[in-house]
Amino acid sequence: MRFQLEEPKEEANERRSQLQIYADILRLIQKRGGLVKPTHILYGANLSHARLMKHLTWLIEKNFIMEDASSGHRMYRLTPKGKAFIGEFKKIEEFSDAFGVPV
Amino acid sequence: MVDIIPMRFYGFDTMIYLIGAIICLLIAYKATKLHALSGKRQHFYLAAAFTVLGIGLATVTLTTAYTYYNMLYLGQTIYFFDQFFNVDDVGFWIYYLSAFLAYGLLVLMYMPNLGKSGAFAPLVFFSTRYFEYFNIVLFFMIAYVAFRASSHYFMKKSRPALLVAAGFVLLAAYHAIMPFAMFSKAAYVVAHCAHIGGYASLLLMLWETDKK
Repeated sequence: MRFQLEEPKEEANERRSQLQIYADILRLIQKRGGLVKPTHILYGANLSHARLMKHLTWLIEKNFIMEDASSGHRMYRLTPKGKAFIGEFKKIEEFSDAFGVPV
Repeated sequence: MVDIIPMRFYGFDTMIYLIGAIICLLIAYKATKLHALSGKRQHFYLAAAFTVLGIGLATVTLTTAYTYYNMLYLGQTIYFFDQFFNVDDVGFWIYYLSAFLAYGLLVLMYMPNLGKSGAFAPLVFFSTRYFEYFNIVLFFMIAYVAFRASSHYFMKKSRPALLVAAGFVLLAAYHAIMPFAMFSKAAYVVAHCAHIGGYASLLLMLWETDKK
């Protein structure tokens, strides 16, 4: 019986899971003071525009971020729920990784 | 089952099953939250495995407690099926079947490409000698899981991974030692020390990952 150890390799272009992408986007917004333009997320999170919009829609639906047009430009603001998710994600990532299952 | 248990250990094994059940259900709760976020099948297997194992341990907690109470305070043994099985036997059947299912799900978690039948391929002997056969079958299943967890630890070298590996290794030790309880009551005690040690290691992992 052949078996393979399905451990992810540490490469720069390693494919991220959807959950990791959400966490990366939220961390990016948090690093920039909690309010950021879409283009900053686009370059910072290394995503295509179409994929970024899909992920941002999901994050808005889950109330992790909200749109903020008060400055006259479309920007995204991190919500308290989104901030809490960043903290929780680290814990669940550790928990999942303890069993050898990548998030 | 009661014949192989040292009298002074009566009740302690019940406590061990109860603690094991609580820890399994805590892990299942966390894994369920994880699966709700990720939607990954492997996380579902993890959540389902510990849920089933927790239910099995909770059942054997109740049946052993009921058996001890009847035996020690009322001086009677409760039988089912025309005195073929007693309450204790029924409890252990349920526990062993739940452990068989749970370990199968953990095997699937580490080998998601394996067909579902492959994870449950080890033959299960349904006979009155369930005690020995189940423990041997379960040992091989959990030993594989322990091997995968240990391999992961040697790659990652993280403390939570070490605790999970140690937990599964101790559970494998429990199933390996239990068949010898037929010959030595000390083996029963040692096996249960390994059992509680395994769950304590998993609880420590939960605490470590939760405090960060």
